[in-house]
Amino acid sequence: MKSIKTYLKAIFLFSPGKPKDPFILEAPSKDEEQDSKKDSEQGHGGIYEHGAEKEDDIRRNKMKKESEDKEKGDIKEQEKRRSKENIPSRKPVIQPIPLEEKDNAHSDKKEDDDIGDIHASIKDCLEKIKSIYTADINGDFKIREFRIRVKGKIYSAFVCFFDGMIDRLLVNISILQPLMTLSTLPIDTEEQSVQEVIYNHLMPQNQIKTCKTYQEVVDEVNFGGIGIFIDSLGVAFSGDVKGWEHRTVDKPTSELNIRGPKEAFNETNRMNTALLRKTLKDENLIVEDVLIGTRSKTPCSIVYIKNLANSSLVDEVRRRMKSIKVGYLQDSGELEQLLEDSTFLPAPQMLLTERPDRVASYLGEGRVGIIVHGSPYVIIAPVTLFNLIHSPEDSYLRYPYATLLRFIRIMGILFTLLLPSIYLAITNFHQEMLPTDLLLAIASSREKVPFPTIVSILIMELAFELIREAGIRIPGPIGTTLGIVGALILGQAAVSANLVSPILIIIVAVTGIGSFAIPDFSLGYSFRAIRFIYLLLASISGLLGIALGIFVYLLFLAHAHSFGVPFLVPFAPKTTGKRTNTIFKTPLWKEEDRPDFLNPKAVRKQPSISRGWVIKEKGVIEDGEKNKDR
Amino acid sequence: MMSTRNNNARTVIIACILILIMTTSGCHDAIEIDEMVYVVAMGLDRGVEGNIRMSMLLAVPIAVGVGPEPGEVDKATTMITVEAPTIFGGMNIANSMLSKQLNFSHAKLVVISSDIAQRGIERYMNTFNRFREFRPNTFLGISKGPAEDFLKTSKPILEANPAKYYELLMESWEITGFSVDSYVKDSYADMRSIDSEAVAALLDVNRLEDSSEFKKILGEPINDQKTMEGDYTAESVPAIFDSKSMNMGAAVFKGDKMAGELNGRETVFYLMVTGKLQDAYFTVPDPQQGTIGEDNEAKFVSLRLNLARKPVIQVEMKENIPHITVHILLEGIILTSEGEKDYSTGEGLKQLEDFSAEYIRKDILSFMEKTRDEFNSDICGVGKKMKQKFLNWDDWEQFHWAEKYQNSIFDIVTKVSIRRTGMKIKQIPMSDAK
Repeated sequence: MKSIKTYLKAIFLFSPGKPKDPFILEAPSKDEEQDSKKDSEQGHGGIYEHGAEKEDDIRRNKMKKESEDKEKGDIKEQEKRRSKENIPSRKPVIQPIPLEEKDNAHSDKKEDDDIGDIHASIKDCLEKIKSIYTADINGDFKIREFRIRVKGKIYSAFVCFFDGMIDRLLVNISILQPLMTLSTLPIDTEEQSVQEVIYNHLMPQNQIKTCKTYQEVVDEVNFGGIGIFIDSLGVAFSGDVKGWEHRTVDKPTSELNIRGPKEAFNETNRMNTALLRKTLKDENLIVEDVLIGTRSKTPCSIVYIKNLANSSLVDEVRRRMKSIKVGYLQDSGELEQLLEDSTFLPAPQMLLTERPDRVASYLGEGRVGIIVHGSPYVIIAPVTLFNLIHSPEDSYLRYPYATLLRFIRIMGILFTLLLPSIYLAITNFHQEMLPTDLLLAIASSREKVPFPTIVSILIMELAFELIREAGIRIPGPIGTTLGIVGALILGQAAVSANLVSPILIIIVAVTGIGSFAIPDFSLGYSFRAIRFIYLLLASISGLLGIALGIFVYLLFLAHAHSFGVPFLVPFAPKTTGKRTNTIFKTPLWKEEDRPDFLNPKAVRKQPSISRGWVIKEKGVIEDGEKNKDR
Repeated sequence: MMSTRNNNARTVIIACILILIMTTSGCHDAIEIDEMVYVVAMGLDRGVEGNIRMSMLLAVPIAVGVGPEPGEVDKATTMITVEAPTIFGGMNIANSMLSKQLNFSHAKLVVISSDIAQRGIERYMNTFNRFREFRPNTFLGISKGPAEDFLKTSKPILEANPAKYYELLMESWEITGFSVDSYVKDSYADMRSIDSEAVAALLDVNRLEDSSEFKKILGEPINDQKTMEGDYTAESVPAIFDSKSMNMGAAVFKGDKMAGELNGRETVFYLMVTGKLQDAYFTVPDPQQGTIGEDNEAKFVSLRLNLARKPVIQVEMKENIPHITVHILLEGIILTSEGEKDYSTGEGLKQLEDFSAEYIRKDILSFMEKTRDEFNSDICGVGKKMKQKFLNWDDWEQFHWAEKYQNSIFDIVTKVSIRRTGMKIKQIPMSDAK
């Protein structure tokens, strides 16, 4: 009884839940001292939060306390009653250990097992490595034992690596050959220790690391490196000799375009960072490496431009990435799910692209990119809804065309989302809205259809989704053929079998085509899914239902954040910056500011007159200064 | 923990409330398009014992056809006639006969017989305005004969869709000027107001069988004036066509009661004074041969006229008599000049302009006098101009404009400017050339 009471109280008083301490992107601080003061004053409040936060907090705490007090009181009463009626009170429940703690304990233990310092004796090292890699079973794990001669003394040594992951020639020429043969060269090495001689003279390879623990060596070897163990040193070396097979740089497959560069990322982390550097050519581009996955140790890179990206944003990305504890991480799609602010929001909160030029342009606005080894898709954060409806081609096309394309794309989105539901609402609830000719045509075409409109629409929409999904699975050229043939034949057959009316086929087809016009794959999925909700709402209460649906949907979107940036910014909340390049495109020379809501370290992108040639007279003042070039 | 549980419960309860609101408020309203039958036009006649006889012309969608397949025009409509004390009573009777539910949301025309109209149509107008299925932009027509006959005889021959037929028929005034735009909403507003009175399109069945019967209508010229093309009302137009419905002239109302009729030509002047004239072919006698010659064959000049400016109406009260001045500025194109005289340039053009201005002025004056003497109904909305002179509503109500209007004195000023002369720049008499 009490719990229902509290429920009802909670519902009708609408006390906000416990604050989740969300991350809010703040403006770059000018003064550190001021910053800390601000923090203590605002608590978790940021630039987009309202001032009433504090009062809310107080009220919330009060309420919480009250309810707790009540609970306590109730428990006491119960106990009293029990003692009166001689009922034995319940046994105290043994609190189970939370899973998290259990896991932590377990994993700690495991890591203890793995980590150990390198033994001095080469025999021990060999044993250890063999046991770590189960070398007698693992066929591709190779150990090569040999001897080297340093400072007149012969030492046993071995290298270990995975066959197929290393560059054999490189190992032969840069590691084995010098160690085994060059050690006899007379080098002035009197003052250097054995370890130093080996490191400085005997391994002409550009990336050699000295490792003190097995774990360090193992990490390198797992990722295509080589482990070098030499007797009596107490340390090991690891060399970067990666030489695994990978795809070469290819054309983008999911973000096709006609104009603009045609390179796409591939699955190799370093190649991706190189592509990005090649595009940006900026020494301020930072590639910060983070390993994710307790087992897979997938190399990921946070990329940003040092003097543009807001530091608090970079910190937050780093914090979130470093806190992730998963076993294996395969793809940026997984990382996206681990990083996103809201799991259930029907819209993607990050942008995944396979185009280096697109990443470069977003980094140039002050955003942050995340590259995941093994995935050709790079994550961009934070993004707004409007970024997701842009196409990479937009900025390469002339202003009028790009504007037209944007308009068509928005139409496509509206068609995908609402066309079937509006058709349903109008034909079932608002027949007066149709032109009489169309009404009679629909009426006559529906005359032989046995199902209500909603059932017909659902049949066709599901059929369309089925064709789409099947088209992806079917290999190569058959896929596209099946898609077209399937759609045509199915539509025609459905009409002649009187399952649906011909007008409905048009509606479903336009909806389908509209969904293909959405540039972001993930957003397209979300709209495709949501249209079924709108269909349901329209079938229940017509345009009223659709209006309600749009209202709730916008509430969701307005509430959403992507790394501290509201999802509908710069429209909700309104920001002060110029609203360029959001829904419609602006001419390139007019895009003077970086997005204000990203709080980049430098807002100005280009001077107000970026095309110097438009100034005709001499001595015209440009940006407050005389144009000195003239 | 507590807060999440509360949140979950709150979400569930809010979802329940939303679902309840939506399911209880909607859903049962849903009706498929093919479960309804659409009334295209409705006719109201006087039945026995004060009942009304409702004739409803229904569209038959299967016959209208879909896509490129032509429909069967003959079967595109069907009619049901019922008699009941009220319109909704009639609908109930009809619904009990029809397999599908009647729907008025696509009705294009309401025809009321003049028999009813003369007794007042307030009760029906109230029905049309209150019930949501009647569109405000349904056309209102008054048929001189029974409305049932009008609907029975009208056949969409050029269209597959009967609704389109009525819509286009009622919009023909835009190119002829022989009828008026009579939406239910406008007529209702005019009937209710004390500033102006309503008009409605005048409809009837053409009862001529053969062109030999035209003589009955035409007869002898009156006052040396030849009968011009618009000098008819809907029932007597010299025309033969498969579809017998005719739309010409206007029914004039005083309050909610029909007070008289305007013929097609007078309707043109009505449109001129109210500023609704779009474009109309207008015939004036050749200024040189204004009267009918010995062989009874006059020559004419045809103009295409439209309003150059909105007409300016001024009212002044002098000794309790309204002095009404109407300025009308018309623009025209010479479409044809049948006579020998060249009216394309110079003196001839001036002569034609002056002549047609005077010709039209006289006709407008006689039309305005007709509204004053015969109908005593201010259909041109002069009262709206008079109203502007009052500061508060009570004074205006006390003024009793409707009573004052019958004493008004009119002054019509017209000007015709011929802007273009058609494809000819000069007319050379053929007889001279020979």
